Amino acid sequence: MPKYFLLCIILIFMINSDSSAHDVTVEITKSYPSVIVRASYFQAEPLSYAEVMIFSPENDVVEYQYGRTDKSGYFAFVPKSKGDWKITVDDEMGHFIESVVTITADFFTGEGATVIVAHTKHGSTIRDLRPLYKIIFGLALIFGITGIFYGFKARQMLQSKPDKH
Amino acid sequence: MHISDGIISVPVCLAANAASVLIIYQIGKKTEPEDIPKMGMMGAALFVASLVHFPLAGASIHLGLFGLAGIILGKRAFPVIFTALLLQSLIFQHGGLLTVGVNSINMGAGAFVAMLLWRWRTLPEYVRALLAGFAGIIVPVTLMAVEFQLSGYGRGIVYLLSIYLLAALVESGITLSIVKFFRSVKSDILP
Repeated sequence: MPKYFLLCIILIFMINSDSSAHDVTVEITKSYPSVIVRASYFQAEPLSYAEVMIFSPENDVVEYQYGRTDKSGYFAFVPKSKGDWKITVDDEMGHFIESVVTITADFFTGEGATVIVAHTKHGSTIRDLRPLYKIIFGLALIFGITGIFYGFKARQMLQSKPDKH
Repeated sequence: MHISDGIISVPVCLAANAASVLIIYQIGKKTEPEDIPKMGMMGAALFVASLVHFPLAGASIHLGLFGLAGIILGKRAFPVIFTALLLQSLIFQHGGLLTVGVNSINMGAGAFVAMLLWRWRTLPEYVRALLAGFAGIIVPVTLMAVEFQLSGYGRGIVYLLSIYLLAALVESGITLSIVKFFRSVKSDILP
């Protein structure tokens, strides 16, 4: 009995705690006329071919640009207006980061030094997953629990039967 | 229908959780291995059904399938409902974690009443299916309304009940459809 209790506790903590050790970082370089985004995991491993969405200050529902990072985790876009541009990067394996870069009038004059903005998100939890992945995760747990329970009951049944040999 | 944390007092929640664990233990002891796959499938259906929301009269409601669980699983619906609610709370933050026991007892009561209605053999099968589906929603909502009232959140209870009355009607229709489907393709799943 204690081992099953322990299993339940581990399960609950596993769901509530970080499901991955990966931190995710985006470095945003503003260099007229483009903004360059580099996404990486902890220890600078790039988020290769991750899904990127760019939302303009005028419309935060329909993306301004959509694409994927290259092999080195880079993505670039050309902002057309001042304001806060939202950037989301998702490797579709549970690592998701959202960042905002502010574009000012100086950017369009091409003056000023390149600015690098870094934004790090520590770890990622089950709560950060997309709804579909959460559903799959939940179903997998239900079927897993069913299997464990089935195995447990089957073993009980076998133990209660007298040995025929 | 899922009560969040902070509404029901902590001692009541803890008592409900303890009672739920005890019920699950008792039911688990009597469960036969051949029932377990059915429980798993029903658990998956409950887990997903509660995530399908649709707007109704300014509120957001979702399917429960507690009546169907009561029909197919009988008393064994309770552990299935508890597991589905626990995972919904942990993964989707749908309902409180501390109130899992209270929610399970509310919804388990719906499944239990549905089971009793389903076993009322003097009625035609379609009537029993409709009543079971209806009870699967209306019983938990009534219990929830009473708990809200006792916790000092009495306002809007009539509105809540009227909304869920519509949901219960929808649910009874869905339960009837599923029962008819099972009767035609896999009759032995229905007790």
